[in-house]
This record gives sequence, C-alpha cells and structure tokens, in this order.
Amino acid sequence: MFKGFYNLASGVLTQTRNLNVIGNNMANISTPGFRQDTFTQTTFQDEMIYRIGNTDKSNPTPIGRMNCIVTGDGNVTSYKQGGLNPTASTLDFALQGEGFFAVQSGNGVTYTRNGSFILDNEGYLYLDGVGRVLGTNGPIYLGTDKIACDSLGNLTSEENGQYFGRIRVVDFQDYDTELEKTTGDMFVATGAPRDVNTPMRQKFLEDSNVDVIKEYTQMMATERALQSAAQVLRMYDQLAAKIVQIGPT
Amino acid sequence: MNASFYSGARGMMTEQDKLNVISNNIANVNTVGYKSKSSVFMDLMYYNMHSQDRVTTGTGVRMQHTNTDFSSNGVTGAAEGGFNFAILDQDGFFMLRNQVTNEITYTRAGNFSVSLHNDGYFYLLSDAQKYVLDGNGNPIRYINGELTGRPGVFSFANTNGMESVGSTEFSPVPKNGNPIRVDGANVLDGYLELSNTDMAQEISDTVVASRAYTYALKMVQTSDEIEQTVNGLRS
Repeated sequence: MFKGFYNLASGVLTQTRNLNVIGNNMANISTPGFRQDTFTQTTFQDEMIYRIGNTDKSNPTPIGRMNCIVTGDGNVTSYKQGGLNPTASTLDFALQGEGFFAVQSGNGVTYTRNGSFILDNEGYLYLDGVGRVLGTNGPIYLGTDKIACDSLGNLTSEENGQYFGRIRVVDFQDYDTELEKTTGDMFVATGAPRDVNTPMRQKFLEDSNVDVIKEYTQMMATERALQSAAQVLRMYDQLAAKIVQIGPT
Repeated sequence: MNASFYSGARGMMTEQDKLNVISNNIANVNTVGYKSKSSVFMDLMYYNMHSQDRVTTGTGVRMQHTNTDFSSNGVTGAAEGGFNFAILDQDGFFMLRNQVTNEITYTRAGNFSVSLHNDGYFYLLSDAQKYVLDGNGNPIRYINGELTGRPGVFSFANTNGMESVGSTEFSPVPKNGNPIRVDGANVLDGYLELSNTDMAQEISDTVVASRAYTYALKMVQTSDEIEQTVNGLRS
C-alpha cells in the first residue's frame, strides 16, 4: 500500500551514497595518481503490473512495468591520464600513458599510479604506508637518492653509474573487471598483469584526474535530486495522513 | 551522518596542512640555509556502502609525507666581520654538536660566531649555540685571531626522510646511513647559502591549495543542507 515511502526513501538514500563518492573525489583533487570514481544507479525489483477483472480474475492483462526502488549499481573508475607536475624529489616518478607501478604490500602485489616513492629503513624504493616498489627482478635496493632514471625506468647511480634495477610497469586487459580500488591510490588485481614499456618521467608526479567542474555540477544535481525526493516524500506523507483521517472518527 | 560530510572535512583539513607547509616555506624565504618542503597526499580507506560489491567509496584524504628539497639555490655575500661559510657543492652539511647533550645535527646554514667559554677558549658556534665541528669531529677554537680548523663537510648516501629539528638543522634517520666526510669540499668564506624557497612555486601552490580548500568546503556545505532536508522531512 505505502510503497511510495520506500520508493522515495531509496531515492534519498541512493543520492546520499552518490554524494559520498563525489565527496571522496573532491577531497582527493590533490592526491597524486588518484583516479576519479563515478557512482552509477540502477533500478531494483523491476516488476510487471497487471489488470485483473473485478469478478472474472482468469485473464490478467499486462499493462506495464514498474520499478520499486533505486539503488547503487557500482562505481566506474576513470583511468584517464592526469597532468604531470614537476617536483624536487629524485624518488618521484610519473607514468606517461597506460600502466601501473607494482608494489609489494602486506596483502600481496598491489598496483598504483602514485609514484611518490621514498626509501624505506633498509634503503629499498618504497611507497609510504604501502610497501616496497617492485622492479622487474623484485624489490629495488638503492641505498641512495642520488639516482637517474631513463624513460623505461632503468635506475642508475648519478655518482658512479651503478645499475640498480628497472621499475616494473604493468597493464591489464580490462580495468573495469580486473581492478578494484583500495586504500592509498592502490588497486588490487584479479586478472594477470602483463609487463609493458610505458614511458615514465623522474622528478614528476601525476596529478589526480578528478574533473573539478564535473564533480561540482554532479554535486549540485545530486543535492537537488535528493531534495526533490525528500519533498515528494513529505507530500506523500501528508497524503497518507489524509487517508488515515478518512475513516470513522 | 553522511560520509560525504567527513570526506569534505578531511579534504579541507589536508589542504590546510598543505597551506601550513607552504606558509612555512614563504616565511623562511630569507632564512640562511633553509630547505623548502612539499607535501604529498594519499587517499583513505575504502568501504562498501551496501552489501552489493563494487559500490564502494573512500573516506577522504590525508597527508602521506613531506619531501624536503635539498637542492642549493646559490649563495649571497654576507656582512663583513662575521664567520660565514657556504658549501658550494650540492651535497654536504656542516656538522654541529650540542654543548649539553652532545647531540649531533647537520646544517647548510654557515652563519657562525665565536664565543668565550669557561675553559678560557673561544669556540666557533652556530646561531643555536652549538659547536661547529671540523673534519675530524672536533670543536673549532679561535686562537690569536685565527680559527684552529675549517668547518668539516659531511654528506649522506641519501637525504630522503632526514628529520628537520629546527634552526635549519637536520638530524639523520637510520636509512640515511653514516655521515661521510667530504674531503676537498668547496667551502667559501664570507658567503652564506640562500634559502631555496621558490616564491613563484609557493604562491601558485597557495592559489591551488586555497581553491581546493574552498571546493571541499562546498561539499561540507552541501552535506549540511542535505542533513537539513532530511531533518525537515517531518514538519
């Protein structure tokens, strides 16, 4: 009977979730390598509506479809390249084109576009808070930050030309199904990574790829959609109150 | 409350932190031997908004670390009569020793002075009243109008993550390794190293950070309006 309550409430709830995603994008406009998420919605419990006779109920005729509630369907992550920003640190790297850095975290190998590396206590190339950066032959021991890097990620000492290793860059067939976002600009992969030769730049960081104008517009649109659902919910409530009053007093 | 409220607030807080770093750089644009810092952010935990997979969102942003730019920005002529030194090489620090705690720190700021001590000797001291050490790690004395040695220069295998301890001094962390004496370092008398703060960079970073701050603020405002709407469902 009062299906509308739930229908409208689902609208409010879903728009709130949309705003959570937008809020996270907006908070991360300065996070290197951050990839923007877009929240998508779907209808739920799609059902047929039938006309059924008053007395003869043997021939129900379909008259259309109706959706009960709206809900979140999933996030679509944008893997568009972000701008490159020059920095002063020789341990900062940015990828130009598709691909990810591989990092050995506590939960296996994870992938990221964030190249703001440092050295860990043993002198290995390290992504702060995540783990050691993987080269083509495992973690890369540097012990110094006076290093040079060619476009393929070969690291050599600036002082004596000693070769340290090559930063591994991998790519995936299908980002949408094979990658899942986790903390710290990291992605967990379900598919098999393949090594690629994406060029990289030392002393650069890739900016977040959040589109400010799009997020701002989305934020306004989502807020108004939520308010519309809330407004109709109020009207629905007032109407329901009238129905309650119709009965004998 | 909505997660968006807190994500927006975290965005503001982190941009504020960034502005703090920038303002410290700008404040030290004329500080001898100052090394500018930059901040790097990372996003926070992701969670499922409801049981269905892949409907996740993050919870904002935090500052991951700050980088210190150890590059040199040239030297300036110093006032006459002082004991001023500048290291011309990109690498290397003067070694200082605390008179009381004997703690060793490193600096690029060579604006030293001499001071009389209880033992009747004049010693070469830094601005923060620490001994300036020579290449062998001994305090430098001032006898008969001459210094007994030249300030030693020491470098590290890497300067990544070196800790700033105030007065433009740095303290090495274990990963920096042991100090290595630089023999034949290019130390110039009567000059001082400039601060390496790049004003154009800092000002443009200020603009970017303050815009990002306003932007995150709007998210907080929007979340607030939504709470109002929800609260107004029942009049």
